[in-house]
Amino acid sequence: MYLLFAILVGRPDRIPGPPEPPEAEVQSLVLRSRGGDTEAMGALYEFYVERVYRSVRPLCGSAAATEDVVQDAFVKAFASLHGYEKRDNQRFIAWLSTIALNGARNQSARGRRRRELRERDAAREVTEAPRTPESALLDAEARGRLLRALEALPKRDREVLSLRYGADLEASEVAAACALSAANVRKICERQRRRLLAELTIRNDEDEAARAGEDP
Amino acid sequence: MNDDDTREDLQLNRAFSALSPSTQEREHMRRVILAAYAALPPLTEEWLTMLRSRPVANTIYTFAAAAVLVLGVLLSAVPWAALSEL
Repeated sequence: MYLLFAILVGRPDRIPGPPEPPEAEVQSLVLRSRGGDTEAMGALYEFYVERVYRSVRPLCGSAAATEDVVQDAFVKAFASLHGYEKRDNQRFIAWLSTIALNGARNQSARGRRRRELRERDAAREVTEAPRTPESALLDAEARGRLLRALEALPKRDREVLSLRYGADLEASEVAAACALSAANVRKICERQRRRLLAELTIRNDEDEAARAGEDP
Repeated sequence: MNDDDTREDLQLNRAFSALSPSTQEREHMRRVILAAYAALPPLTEEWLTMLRSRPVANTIYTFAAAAVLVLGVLLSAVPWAALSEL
């Protein structure tokens, strides 16, 4: 039961980032960051890092590769803030997610340092465990289930769903980032959403059955 | 969008929260990003580095670009309309 709760409600031991600020505040932070204000950059980072990370995690293959892509995306964004204009009502998160998406595409095309990253991930799993063993296990299971289910989707659909539900972008923003029409994005979301949820339920049941089988 | 769609959207949003970085990962990335940003060379330095990498070719390009710019400014300052009436 707790597992289902963890899937649907998210992990309670992860401290969520601050809620998204009003767009006017974001724009003022962008202006300050353009002038090199690292405090404003830190605030932008805190507001958006989770959404950017979630949107590229299914596209990167490993947590370490995702970290690299997210770091590159933020550094690139901060260094080229003068190129960000709030044209056509483009939100900052949409602009940032597009940079991260391109980074993830390049990263997966190069497939760089894959083995090394996997080894680093494995090492981290061992060293980073301040949480309770049970919650860590549930975290890893929920994450693994979602990633496996997403892995089964075509690459384009995976990108669309990751931006739509990971970065929480509007269909029109996803469409602009993926060079698709908004109608097409809605169609993909509609088609794959149900499939993904069904897949998650099946995998959850399988995991629960396996756990029940293991218990004496 | 009907209620089912909204509920499913919400369920997937919540499912994606499982992919969030841990607090340690978030802190680590923050430190790396701010340090990497602080270490970015200024534009003039980048330009000089570029110039040094292929000194002859890049100096020629730079002077050619400057010459085109100066020529453009000079030509735009000529009163062509007044000259054509002469």
